[in-house]
This record gives sequence, C-alpha cells and structure tokens, in this order.
Amino acid sequence: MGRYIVQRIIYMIVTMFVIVALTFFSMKLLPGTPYKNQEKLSPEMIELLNHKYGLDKPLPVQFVKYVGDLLKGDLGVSFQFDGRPVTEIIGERLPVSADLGFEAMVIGLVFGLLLGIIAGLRRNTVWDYGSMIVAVIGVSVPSFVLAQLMQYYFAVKHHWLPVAYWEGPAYHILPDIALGFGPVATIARYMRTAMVDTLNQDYIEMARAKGLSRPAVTFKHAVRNSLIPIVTIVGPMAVNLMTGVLVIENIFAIPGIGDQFVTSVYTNDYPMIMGTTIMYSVAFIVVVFIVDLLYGVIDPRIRLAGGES
Amino acid sequence: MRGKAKWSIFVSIMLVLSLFLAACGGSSQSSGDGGGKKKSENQLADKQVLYFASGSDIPSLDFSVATDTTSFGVLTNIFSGLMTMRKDKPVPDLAAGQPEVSADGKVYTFKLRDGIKWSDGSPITAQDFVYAWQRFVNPKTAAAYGYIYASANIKNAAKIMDKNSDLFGKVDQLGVKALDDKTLQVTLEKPTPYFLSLMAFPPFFPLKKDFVEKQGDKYAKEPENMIYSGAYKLAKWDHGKGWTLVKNPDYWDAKNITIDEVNYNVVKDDVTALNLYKTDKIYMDTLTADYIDQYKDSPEFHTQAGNCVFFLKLNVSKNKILANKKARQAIAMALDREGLTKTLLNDGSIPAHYLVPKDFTFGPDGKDFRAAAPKGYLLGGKDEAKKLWDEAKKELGIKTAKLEFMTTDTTVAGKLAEYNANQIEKTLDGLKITINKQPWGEYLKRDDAGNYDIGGGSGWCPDYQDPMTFLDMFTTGNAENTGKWSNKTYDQLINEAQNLGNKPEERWKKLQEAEKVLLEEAPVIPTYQDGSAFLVKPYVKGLEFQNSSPRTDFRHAKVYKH
Repeated sequence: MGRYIVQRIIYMIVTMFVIVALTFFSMKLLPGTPYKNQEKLSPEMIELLNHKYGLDKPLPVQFVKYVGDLLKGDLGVSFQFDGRPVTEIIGERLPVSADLGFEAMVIGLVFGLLLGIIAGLRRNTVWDYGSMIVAVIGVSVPSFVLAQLMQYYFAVKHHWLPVAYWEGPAYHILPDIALGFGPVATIARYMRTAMVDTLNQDYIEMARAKGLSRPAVTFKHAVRNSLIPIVTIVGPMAVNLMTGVLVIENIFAIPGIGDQFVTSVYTNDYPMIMGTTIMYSVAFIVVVFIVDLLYGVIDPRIRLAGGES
Repeated sequence: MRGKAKWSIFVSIMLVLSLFLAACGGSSQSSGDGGGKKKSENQLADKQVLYFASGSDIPSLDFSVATDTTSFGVLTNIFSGLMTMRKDKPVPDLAAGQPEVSADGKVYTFKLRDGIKWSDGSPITAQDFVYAWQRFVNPKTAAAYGYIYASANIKNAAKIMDKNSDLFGKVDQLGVKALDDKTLQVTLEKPTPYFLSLMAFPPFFPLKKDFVEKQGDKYAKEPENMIYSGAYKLAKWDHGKGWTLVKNPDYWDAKNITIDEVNYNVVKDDVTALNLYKTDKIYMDTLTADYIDQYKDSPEFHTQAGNCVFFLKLNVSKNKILANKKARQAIAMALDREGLTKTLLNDGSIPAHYLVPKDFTFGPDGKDFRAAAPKGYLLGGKDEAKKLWDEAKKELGIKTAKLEFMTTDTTVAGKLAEYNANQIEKTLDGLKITINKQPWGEYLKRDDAGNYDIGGGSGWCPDYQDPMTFLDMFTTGNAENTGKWSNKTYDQLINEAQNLGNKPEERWKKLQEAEKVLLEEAPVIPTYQDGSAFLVKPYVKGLEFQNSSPRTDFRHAKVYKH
C-alpha cells in the first residue's frame, strides 16, 4: 500500500509538470496581448510594457522563471486586476465556489441516492417512474434554464427569495438547487442501475435466505455494494462543481472563480490562465487519487497493490 | 392506502414540474415599477443611498494602469483633477476658476483652490500634480495610457517616452512646473483647444508623493492603500463582488454633494441585472437589445448616444478593387444602416454616415461639430450605389469581384458582418463577399499588418474631446491607417488644423472640410455610432449622463421615498 501511494504521488507530480508545460507554451500561442487597450498602443509602447512584465524574454526563460516561482508557491500577478497576486484572487474566490459546489453536491448526494435507492427497490412502480422522470428532467434541462426559471418565479414574481448576490443563507437556496439538480439526476440514475444490478446478485438471495431483515439486506448489502459506481462519478463531479461553475455564478452574481476559466483566456491574462489550470488539475488529480483509495475501503475485492501487503 | 401514497408522490412530482412550466409561461409583464404611485412621491428618502450593478469588478485604481470605463468611473469619483466633467463640459474642480492662458496659447497657469486637501488631512499642492504627471510619463511606469500626454501636446511628453530620443526617461523635462504650492504651470508644444477637457481625465490627476512611495507595490490595491481627493472615498472593496463609495467630507464641494453612499455589485448576467432592477435592488439598468421593445414606452426608459463610431476600413493599397474610388463609394452607399441599428443592434445605436460622432464635440460657437453636415456624406442610397458600381466595373474592366470581410469572433460582430456583407452582395451585382472571423488579438495583428480587404470589426472611441482624435488617424503614414490610404489635400487640412490651435474657428472649419474629403473618398465607411438604452427608477432624480467619466454622474442626484 505504502509503495503504491508513493508511486502514485510521483505520477501525479509528473502529470502536473506536463500540464503546466503544455498550458504554458500553448497559451503563448494565443494572439494578442494582455493589455486592455492594446488596439490603441503603438508597437513601441507594447515593447515597453512587455519589458515591464518580463514578456520580452525568450519563452524557455519565462518558463523556467515561472516554474521556479511556482515551486515557491508564487503564481504571479494578474493582468486583469492590476498587480493582484493570482494566489490571492484564487484564495478569495475559490472558497465561494467551493461553498456553493459543496452544498449542491450534498443536495445531489442526498436526493440522488434517495431517489436511486427508492427507484431500485421499487422497480417498475410509480416510485420508479416518478424518480426517473425527475432524473431525465434533471439531465436534460440545463442548469442555467432552471436557474433563470427559479429566479423569475421565486424572486421576481413572488419575492420569496433574493434574486442574486451571495450574502446570508437565503441567498444560497436558489443557486444550490439550480446547481444540485443535475447531480441529483445523474446520481439517481447511476444508483438505480447499480441497485437493480446488486439486488439480482446471488449474495442478496443468500442474505435473504439466511433470514436477514429487509433493512439489513438493503443497507448492509445492496446499498453498500451499489456505491462503487457512485464513488467513481462523485469525485470528478465534486471537482467540477466546487471549482466554479460559470453560468450559475453569473446568473446569481456570485463572486466565485468560475468566470476566470473563460475570461482569463479572452484577456490573455497569462498568470491567471496558469492559476486556474493548476487549481483545477491539482483538485482533479488529488480527487481521482482519493477515489482510487476509497474503492478499497468500499469494496474489498479491489484492494490495491496485489493484496500482498 | 399504498396505492394512494404512490400517487401522491407522483402528483407532487408533477406539481414540481408544473411549477417550472408555469414559470416558463410567465411572460406576462409584472415589472416591479408599480411602486411609483405611492403618496410619498415627493419626499426625500431618509438615506441618500444608491445601488448600482457593474458588469465587471474594478480592474485597477492606479491611474497609470487603468484604461477602462469601470476604473475611470470610480477614479473620477474618488479623485479630483484640475477640472471635472459636468454635462460633457469641463468645469473647474481643484483649480480655482479658469486658468490663465498665455497669448500664444502654449502656457496654462492654474491657481489651485484654497483649502483643498487629501483625505488624510494634508493639503493638495501643485507639487502633487508635478509628481503624478512625471510618474505617469516615466518609461519605468510604462503607463498604458501614456500616449495621452502626447495627445495633450504637453511639452516633451512624447520624447520622454520615446527610447530613441535624447530626452528618454528625463521626466524633469516635462512641461509642468509648480511655481508655488498653489500655482501650477503647464507648457504645451502647441496650442491645444481640447487641453482643458483632458484635465478632467484621471491620467492628469494629482498624487501625493510621500504616500504613494510609502505604499510601493501596494498602492491603490485596497481602500486603505489610498488617500482620496474626490467627492467620495472608497469605503469597501470586496474584490469580485462589489464596492461602496461614501461621501468624502474633506472634498472642497462636499456641501453640494447630495448622495451619501453608493453601492455597486458585480453582476455579469443581463437578465439578472434586469431582475434586480425589477425588485428595486438596483436603481439603474442598461438594457440589451432583447428588452428594448418591451420597455421603450416606459417613463423609466432613457437612451444616450455614445461617442464611439464603428466603421469598415478598406484596404486601399492591397486590393485593386478597393483602390477604385467609385467601388468604395458604391460599398458605402450599399449598406443599410437603418436596418442595422433598428433591427439588428436595437440598443440605442444610431446610423452613421459620419466619422466624428454627434453630441460629442462643440465648436467655438458652441455648436455640435456635426452641424456642418448633420446627416454625413455619401447619402445616395442603393440606386446610386448600383450606378457607381457599374462604372467602377467598367473602369476596372471586370464583371465579377471577390472581397474578404474580416471581423472578430463575437456573436454581435458576426451578425453585423453577415448583415453588411449581405447588403453589399445584394446591391452590387457580381460582388462576392466572404466573411473571415478572427479572435480579437489576431484581428488586430492582421489589421496592423494590412492583411485584409475590408476590416469590418473596427471602430474608434475617442481619447479626448475633439474631432482630431477621429481624424488624424487617416493621415498618410499614421499607424492606424493600415489600409494605407493617402490624400494630399486631407493631409494638408489636418496638418493645418493641428497648427491652428490659436484660431479655433478656422481650425474647426478645416476639420469639417477634412472629414468631408475623407468620407467622400471612402477609405473608411462609417456604419453606426454606439448608444445605450437604460432604465432608471422614477424615485431617483437628477442623475446626469455624459460621454466621459463619470458617465453616470450621481454627485448631485436625489433619492425620493418609494
């Protein structure tokens, strides 16, 4: 097990290096400059600015400097927000996105699992169809449509909830539901399939034959074994939700990091492009690693490192 | 019983669904303006506080870095210059009245007001201006707006920023001097009629040396890293979320500033902003094209002409068809600008057959520059266009022609390009237009390299309040003149105007003449002047709108009970 973890960590570092290098060199192929009024700047002026920000040096030199700073935890300063360190911007905005994403994830897990389990247990009944209708809607209605409908109905028409902003708990309700509805649907569908599968296994029959109670069979055997596919999808899903979702953050005017994935590229804000990429990749790689470790906990059949340890 | 339970779940699910559908069909108008008719209409609100939405966070509050309207909007409220813009005209702010101008129009002497001070209590002095200006032109600062000092014709500014000059970096050679604490003297290269309006522009605002140097890299990064000289102070700045301005009691004119607090929230989505407006969370909202028809009869609806003009740039030097004057004129007349602005943009933009926008600059007689040719030039329309095109084809000895229409990759730019190309193709027989969409950075690169036939994603927003900012870019050899059009009469007219700063009437005529020459030759084909349409709550009165920062001037507004 220990050897496996060390090996994985080395792989993760190598992967990060490749991602950093690829992003760094490919973003420099973007046409244009990071200067907002570039259309009015003379070539001499651009030269002066490039010199000021060290963009006049050869690319490999810039890269070595970047990696050097990166190892010291310095991601550089943003161009869009004059001179503000990228780490500071991410540090301010990521927690907001993570908060929103976490709440949506909780909604997704609670209701998704519930619907999935009910549908699986009560296959081909109204319960099943009802849950799956919700699931189909959740998968096919984009979150921004749901967000705008809810905003109109609950906030503009009835004044029950705030239209937007990120202040107290009331402000979280609409964005959480809008963002959580998709995960509810996805998780419900996976869970239902897994439940149906598991319930058909011989060991369930066996458990029942042993005379175990219904709840014991359902929760100890069926649900636990059905969780494996859920663990697989939940990790990356959580990363996607918690690193900022542009549309939901825009619709509810939430000061998260989501828009920076797009805006930084549009504005040639090189340090910010690198910052968001690194942030997302690290989260993703780490979560995938954790998920792999979790498999073993949930399902003894997948114990790692050949079971020798 | 069990069956019933099943159905009740099912029914509740259907209820949830129908709720969404109901919301979906809820197109009936219930705009939250019903509150206008309350009895308390004419009573001032207890708190004079405004709420606005901003499409972006503040990019920078350092004059030497800021280049965008959001930053300038805040900067002109929290800092002061010699002048400030009021209803599109410069009026004295920190300056005690109009400056004394030398007979040759090159030396301006400003007296500063008595009792003006920074928000830390220290006096604002003429030395603060000298320091800020020298810092701005310093090549080490590399201010993105540095060229504005050259546009202002301040003595040696261009040379100090030019690395091939002897004066490169020698900021003490800049034409600005503090004669004493209260007297500032500015020397220009030549008389510059628009000089005073530039004094209301943040790059020319003062800075306190001790404070700025003590802050170093931190200067202007947070509210506590600034001291203020304007009508407001930045009380709070939640990066990415919003900011709050509060009245500055140390501002010299504080007694006439009526609004005590202004809150901005960053709202990027247009629909969200409108919903916030409907629920009285913000008091003003800029409308996008989709909502104009719905609100255009509302008393809350306002429009304001902008000062940017959009145009097609023709590559006269590279393309032999576009080298033909009649062909260029035919294209200019083939466009349907009415359809473009009314149907396609529908955002308050106005059709333009002119390059210098209307409601932008006013001559020595106080009249709009456009008064000489209110409608513009080349107004012949489609029939005339067809005739000219036939003649052009004969002159060129061709039956068909192909041109590339380069534009940017935004949705609006794409729609505009398709519309214009379609109008040209439909009107001009045998002319085929292909559209080439490029990202903005690449568009600029190709534009600079003269690598296009028709540059359709171009436009110009003024740097200072004078027709020259639009006209001088089409002189021979100007970096912006990438289509390499060259006309001796035009060059001469512009050159004369540049040296007539002392004779404003004559200069004005030359500029009007120059615009006529340019547009009749049609190396550049204007299409529209931008505009904006917005809603303002009926209980907010006295907001003033103008074309330079502060664009929404709320300094003298009042909020009534609602």
